[in-house]
Amino acid sequence: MTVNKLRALICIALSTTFLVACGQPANDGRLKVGYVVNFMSHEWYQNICRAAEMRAGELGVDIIIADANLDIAAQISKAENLIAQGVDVLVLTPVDAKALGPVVAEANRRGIHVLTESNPVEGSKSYIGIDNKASGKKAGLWYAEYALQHGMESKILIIGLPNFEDCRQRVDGFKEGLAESGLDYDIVQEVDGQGLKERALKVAQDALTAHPEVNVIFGINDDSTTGGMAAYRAAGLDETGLIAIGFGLEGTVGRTALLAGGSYRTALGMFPEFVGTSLVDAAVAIAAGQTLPAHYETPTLMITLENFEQFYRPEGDGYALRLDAVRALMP
Amino acid sequence: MARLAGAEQAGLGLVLFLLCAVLATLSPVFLTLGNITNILRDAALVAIAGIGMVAIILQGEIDLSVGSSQAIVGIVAVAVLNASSSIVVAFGVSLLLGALIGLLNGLLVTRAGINSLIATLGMMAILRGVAMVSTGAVSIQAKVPDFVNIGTGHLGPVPVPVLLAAVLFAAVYFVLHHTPFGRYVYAVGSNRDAAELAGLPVARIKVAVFMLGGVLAALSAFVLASRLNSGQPNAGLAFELQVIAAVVLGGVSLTGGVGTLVGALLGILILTVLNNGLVLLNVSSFYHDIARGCVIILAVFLDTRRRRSLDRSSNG
Repeated sequence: MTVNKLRALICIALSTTFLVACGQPANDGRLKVGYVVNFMSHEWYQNICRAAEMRAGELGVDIIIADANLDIAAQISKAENLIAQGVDVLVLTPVDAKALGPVVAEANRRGIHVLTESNPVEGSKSYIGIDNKASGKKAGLWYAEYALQHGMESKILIIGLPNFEDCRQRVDGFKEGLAESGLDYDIVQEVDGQGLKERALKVAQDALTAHPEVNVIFGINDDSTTGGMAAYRAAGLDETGLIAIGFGLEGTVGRTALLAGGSYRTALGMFPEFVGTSLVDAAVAIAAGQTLPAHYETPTLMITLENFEQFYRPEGDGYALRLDAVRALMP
Repeated sequence: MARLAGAEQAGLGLVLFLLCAVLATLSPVFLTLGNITNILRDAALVAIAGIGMVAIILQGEIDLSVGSSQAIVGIVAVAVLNASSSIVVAFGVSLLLGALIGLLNGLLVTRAGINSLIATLGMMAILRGVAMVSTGAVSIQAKVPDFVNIGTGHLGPVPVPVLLAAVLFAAVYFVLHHTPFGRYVYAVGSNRDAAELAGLPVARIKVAVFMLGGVLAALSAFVLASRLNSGQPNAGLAFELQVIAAVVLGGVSLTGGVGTLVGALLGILILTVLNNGLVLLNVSSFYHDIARGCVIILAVFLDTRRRRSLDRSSNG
């Protein structure tokens, strides 16, 4: 055993003791974390919640998860319930960041640490999540490099979700990456696919009628991109010349499309399982008195067929994320 | 009465024509065969469910559950398809499920005496919830290669969904206008008490119409699932409003008894052409809702004015 490893072990042992001592609520000695997720019906949040529960089990933390189902009033009342139940750390994925100020202030008054996922809220200690703009930029740079290597003439269709700040940032980042790359490209149209495959298919179909020359599709999530691909196919355009870029790769849709080896060449991996794990890690750290950065950034990476197995291993019918591989991407 | 209906359709036809003329001038691809096919294919899905909605609204009732039924029926269709490897079995089960949903809606309204707005609002929430719970909110992929041809295939130059919508339109048109049952539907809608006094089995007629609506909504769900080659738990979000808006825009009165299938079809085409045109013209999606709202108000305004002047001339 090297000295470094030994030192690491001692650190972990010490911090665990410290944790148990510090984050100790009066009742049963276990750290109690409450999490109000904004929209449990989405696969992305299911993966986050599942991973958070698993991590909580590993660390001996009690976690209570409630779903706001996109209703801000429900989110506030569920957060209040968790405060009343005496959680030590309250985690929120804001339905509306601006409306959560009062409930966060109430939690702070009672000495409950507040963390948020995806978006910052005033009064919370830290927010955990990816950097959407930087991630979009990775997609832009990936494509630019590919296009320069293959001498592609780039006619790009963007399928966005402009109602959401996060999704706007992904598109902004994508454009920034393209602009910085020195590639000669043309964004022929941007449409609103509302993040749904059904809607993406319809609007992409109309956009492709106006611009059959499109040979690149960038979608702000996997359903947007695969909806665009379905429209491409339905329009009878030659798919062999198409490059489709996804964002998220959070579930079966994106993974199936990627592994099919067709025009879906790559997607930005957002690793929701790692985000879920990080929520619990951050809650444990803050309860132990550590200071977290204002933005606890979880890593993202362009996933292609080449590096897929480095990050995912087969499990049952599907795949499971190799959490250690993602952790290795942390700075 | 026939004159009145004819005049209404003329007004809607004019709106549709003007809309097409404007779009044709502004976009060089609007009148291409490919684009017209796209419009008709999109309109077909709304039309299939819309035909049933016309019959329901003619009764003075409403069905808000058609959007959620796009999700649950699509999911069941794909699950059965994957389990049985048979498109026919999946199709049969889907229609049965649709009929069952319609039957439940109908019984809630007639037997339990719950207002259809509330009964189907409840059904909408239940069906969406079941769709989410049964799939864990994850879409399921169809594993039978031929399945996708129903939604995306063609018979000659005509897309399959368009053909399907046309056949259904003709069939329901015939039923509404050339059979006793059709007359009963109008009779129950325009004056329920009179229909009851005349000895019509009002409750049974209503249940039958809800079942028709359920089956047709299931059919559009089946076609949608085929188009997406998957069962999507979030399919058909706000689809019911799209269908109702188009049907009402087509002059079918929410108070019941008044309206025609042809008018509803024009309403559906107007909204579909508008959606298509806004994307072709690369209009930011933030303006789409505004444009939709304006067209709905404008078309209904034109209609009301025409009807008023018609009333005046028949009275005077």
